[in-house]
Formats: sequence, structure tokens, C-alpha cells
Amino acid sequence: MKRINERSFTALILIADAFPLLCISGSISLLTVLGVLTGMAAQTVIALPLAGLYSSGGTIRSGGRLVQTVYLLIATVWGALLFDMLWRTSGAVYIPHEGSGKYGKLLIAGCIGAVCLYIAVSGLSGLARAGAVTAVIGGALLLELVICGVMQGDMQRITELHSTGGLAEEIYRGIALGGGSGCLPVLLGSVRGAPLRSLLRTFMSRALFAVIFLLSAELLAAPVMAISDFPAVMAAQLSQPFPSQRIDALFMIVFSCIAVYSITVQTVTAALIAGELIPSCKRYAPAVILLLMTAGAVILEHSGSTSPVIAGMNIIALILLPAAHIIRTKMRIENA
Amino acid sequence: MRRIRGIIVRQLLCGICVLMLTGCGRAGHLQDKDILCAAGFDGSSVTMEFYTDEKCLTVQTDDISAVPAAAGIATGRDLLTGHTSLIILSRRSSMDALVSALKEWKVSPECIIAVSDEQLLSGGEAQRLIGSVRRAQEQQLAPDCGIVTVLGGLLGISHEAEVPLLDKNGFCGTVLLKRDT
Repeated sequence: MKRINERSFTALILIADAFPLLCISGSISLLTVLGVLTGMAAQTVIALPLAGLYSSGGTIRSGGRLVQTVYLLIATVWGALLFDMLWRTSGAVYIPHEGSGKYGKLLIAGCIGAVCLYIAVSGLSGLARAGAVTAVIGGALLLELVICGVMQGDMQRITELHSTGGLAEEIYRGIALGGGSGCLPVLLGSVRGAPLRSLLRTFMSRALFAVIFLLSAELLAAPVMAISDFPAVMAAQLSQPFPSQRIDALFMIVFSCIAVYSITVQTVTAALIAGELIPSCKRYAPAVILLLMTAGAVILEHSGSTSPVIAGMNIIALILLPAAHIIRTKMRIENA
Repeated sequence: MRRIRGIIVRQLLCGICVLMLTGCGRAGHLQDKDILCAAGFDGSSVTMEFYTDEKCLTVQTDDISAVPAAAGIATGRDLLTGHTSLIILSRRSSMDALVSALKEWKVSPECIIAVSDEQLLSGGEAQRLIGSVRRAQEQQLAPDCGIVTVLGGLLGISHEAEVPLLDKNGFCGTVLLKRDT
């Protein structure tokens, strides 16, 4: 497996997290920010054994083929979720063809799939290079949102609680927003450098990014939060400086790039595992996985709120590998 | 051979991407559309004034989201609502009209919201009324009455927002728009 540096790893996970944040639906408030922070802290603690496993020389193979299959499934389901988020949000950001029904949606999926395939074929190192570019333009959007939020935002209304759920629901929601949690256990094994340091740096960056993004979006969209279907999109619409535009052009570019990139991260992760499980299918794995993701998204399209399920899936992803490794080691000792 | 295949695949991908850039092509020509300038809601009908046509159009409906389709049938042209600059409500209008205007008509956040007790829109009146509100705002007689500000007030703790009151002479004062009205 090719190796990536710590910064690239952090960029990969951050961008995988960014798309669910851009597509966040329902109201956001300070309770949401608190939920995201609590969820991130909980995930950091849960992921510590994972860093321990990689520090002691463990690999993704340490959990056995069944565990690898579960990670393959998680990455594929996350890819399907991202396609579903893209389809749901595309109407609000005026992506061309979004109004063309199933044909339009499949066309969008096809275009994204083609770019994903192009990046995925070059593997993890190609993905890491593309990640640096995406992270820079993503950072530009974040900076713009922060500046507009501070200049145009209503500081007094930031304390209004729009969320209908309590803290527990917001923690679920916060964990479910972690698009990078599913692929983190697999990609951590490819990082050059100390796994614990990489893990802590990544989780701190994720928490910081999510908090700044959500607070800026809340500042901008606070007056109409109660009627916003997609608060981040609404924030981008309200922050655009030209009256003839209905949405920020930078937001459109970042939205498209991050959509493609976050799906590619899941595709490459799934393809890496598929290549380990069945080496003969390594060449076709990205294409097959993308097809499975699209099919999964069609199935998920009519599902309701899936936050608790996704949160559970993310926690399983973080805990599964070290847990399976411990069980296997114990069984080996007992057998010996 | 493999290298040539790679080049062909890359060029095909680039070609597909370039074709996809013509995203606005399906939206048709500007001259085939009526661009909405101002709309007046009285609860049971919507009166519209356009940038592109001096005549006004009235559609009998209380559902704002149904207006573009109804107007399309009446005029034979598509209705472009995104550049609406003025929405005049009656005192009986509900907040849902503003929510639909923002979310479905996709009006600008600066679209002026005003109240009037009479039907003011007729050929060429909209621009005069918009100008009247703008001058009143410059003289600090009228409050900020952009749709987001007004919705923010209605959705906020006070459940009310101050908006300009218009009559046939233009701006004539302000009125408190309540959430339940």
C-alpha cells in the first residue's frame, strides 16, 4: 500500500467531512455545535485503541477478512449516502439537470463517477495530491463565510435554539456528520508518521473546522433558520455580494469539487480493501464500487432520518478493527 | 498502445466536461420569458408587473407556488421570478407567501416587502414604488424591509416586522406586520 503524509491524511478526512456539513439539513443552533463537539470528543476517545493498534505494527488485515468486508461495506454505504445528499441538495444550489428527474440525477452521478474513476485509478497518492488543491479552495470558502458571518451576521440571534431535538439528538447528528469516520480506520494505516499524533491532529482539525463552519452558517442564516431546509446553502445564498446572483459562485465551485472529492475518498478506501480481499478484481474495483454506491443511493433516496444509524455505523467503524484484533489475539492464545 | 488509450480516455473526459459546462442552454432564451418586477398579494389573487411588458397580469390563486404555472398559461411565456424587486402584501396576507417567495420564487434577499390597502400595481407603477421606498430608506423614514429582514422579524421572538405602507402616492408611513396576519 502506498503511504501518504500526515497533512494529506488530515486533508482527506476533513474533505470527507466537509460535504455532509455543506448538505446539512434542518435547523442548526449552538446546541448543534455543542453536539458536534461532544460527538467529536467521543469519537476521539473511541478511536484511541485504533491508534494503539497501528502504533504496535497492526494493519487493516489484523482484524481478518470479515472485518475488512465490513469496512468495504461501510465505505460503500457512505458513498451511497453522499450521492443521496448530493441529489437532495442539488435542487437548492441550482445544479443544471437537477430538475430532469431520475435521468438528471443519474447524469450527475455519471459525471461524478467519471471524475472519481479518473482520480481513483491513480490510487491513494493521486487522491492526496488532489486533496491539497481541494483543501485550499475549501479553505477560501470557509474564510469567506467567516468574514460574511462576522460582517453581516446577527450576533444577538446566534443564541436562539432552533433545533427541535435535545442534546442527545444533536450528538447523534454530530457523529453522523463525520463523513471521514468510516474511512479513517483504513486510511490511518497508510500514514507516514506516528498514528496517535495523526489521529489527534485530524480530530482536532475536524472539530475546529466543523465549529467554525457551523457558527458562520448560523450567523448568516439565523433570521430564517426556522424555514431553511439546508442552512449551509441558505448561508451561501445570503452571503453572496451581488444582487443578480442567487448563490455564491465560490460556493458552487467548492460544492462541486468537494462532492466529487468526498465520494472519491470513499471509492478509493473501498477499492483499497476490495483489492486486498480479491487481488484479481483490483483493476475493476473502483468502477464496480461506484455502481454499487449509485444503486445504494437510489435505495436510500426514500429513507427518512438516518442519523442514529449513520452515527452507529461511524462508531462501529472506529471500534471494530481494534476490537476484532483483541478477540483474534485472545483466541490465538487460547488455542495455543 | 496503453499510452494512446490513456490519452484518448483523458480527451473524452475533457470533452464530456466541456459539454456539461453548457448548463444554462436548456433554460431557453431571455426573450421567451417574462421577468417579474413586482407582485401584489391580497390573499385570493396575485397581481404581477413585469420588466419586459407594460401590462399587468392578475392570477386568481392563494397559492404562491402555483403562480408561475398559472402565469405561463395566461401569457404563453415562462415566468422568471428570481429578480422580483417588490412584493406588496395586504394586511390579511400570511407569512407563507413570503416563505414561498424566498424558497420557491428564489427572490433576492434585498427584495422589498411592503403593505398596501389598495391594488397599486399597474403598468410602470412598480419602479416608482420601489424608488419611493428607497428614497424613504435613505431619509431614514422607512426601515430595512428586505425579505430576509422581514422574515427574520416574523420568525423571531417578537413575531412582527416593521414594513413600509404604500398608497397611490408611494411611501406613506410604516406598519407592523404580524406573524399571524
